[in-house]
Amino acid sequence: MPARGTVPSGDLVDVWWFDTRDVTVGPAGLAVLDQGERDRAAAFLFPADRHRYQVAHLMLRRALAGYTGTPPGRLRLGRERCPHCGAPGKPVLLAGAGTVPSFSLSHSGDMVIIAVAGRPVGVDVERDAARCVCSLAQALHPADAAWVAGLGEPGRHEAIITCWVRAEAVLKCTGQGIGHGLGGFPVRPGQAAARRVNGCTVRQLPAPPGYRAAVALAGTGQPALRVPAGLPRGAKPA
Amino acid sequence: MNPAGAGDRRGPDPDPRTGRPGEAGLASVTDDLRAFLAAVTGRGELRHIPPGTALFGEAVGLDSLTGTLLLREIQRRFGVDVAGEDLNLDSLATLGTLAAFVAQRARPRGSS
Repeated sequence: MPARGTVPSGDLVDVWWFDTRDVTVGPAGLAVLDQGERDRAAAFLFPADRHRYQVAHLMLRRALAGYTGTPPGRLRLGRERCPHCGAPGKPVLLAGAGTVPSFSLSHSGDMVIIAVAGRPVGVDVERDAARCVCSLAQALHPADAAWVAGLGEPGRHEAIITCWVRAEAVLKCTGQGIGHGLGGFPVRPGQAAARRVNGCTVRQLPAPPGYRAAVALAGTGQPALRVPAGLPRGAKPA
Repeated sequence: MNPAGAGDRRGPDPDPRTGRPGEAGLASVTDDLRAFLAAVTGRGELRHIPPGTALFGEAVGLDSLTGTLLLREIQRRFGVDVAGEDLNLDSLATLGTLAAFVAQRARPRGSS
């Protein structure tokens, strides 16, 4: 278990990266996953997907254990209901002793990213497009779609993925299911480092080469990245 | 712009008796969807998944971005707006259910 860290207060957000290729999961690691996580892991068709899922959830539990003092295998995770339709949605840590951190988990390609904050937080990472993603622009807010349409390729592809991770981070922060669409609000980067939208403040994250990532924090304060204390092995701060 | 890069086919061959896609049409749509899946995810192994494979969640690991790309590609190639026509999105359960949905609604060849 990593050293005990305090739950970020105010606008602070702790962000970690993991490259799933750098992490091995042994029997002791698998033992901390709950039955639901084990069932999901067993359902994967491809070993690489299973490995990524196991790494993501093991690392999430280790990280949260560092804040709560509860051993990784004893943390209870549940789902909040989507504020829009009531369906089970955003994963949350069920109440325990002390301050319960809010967290968000995302993975794409070989990368897993975890964000922890003292109030609702959302994070999203996507691998840069290997192919044309212009068709995704239709899913964005019209103002964002117009912005990307004015850019040449390949910058347009990068801009689309940038908007996508920002919009998805906002939805993951508010807990509204992505199925309701992510074009309800504009998220394109502007003059300010962070953008207030949909009750959240969203900002771009530094990401490994070939990836784009953003974090959204509930409220109007600009998310401030903190170097987390006691990083789990294999983790890199954002 | 050619995201999936799987050739430039307009849709399945209709059954000559009914004018609707037949078995051959379904098989061909299924193959096309496998190619789209492999292209949007960048994962060649998806070219060989069986029709019963679940699309979202564990098996294929489509996420919101790659899932949206897949639906856009289906719309572009087959003229079928899956999200617009299947409000419950039941057709997205497996490769086979999606292929059947698309094959049933795809524009006959030459109508576009």
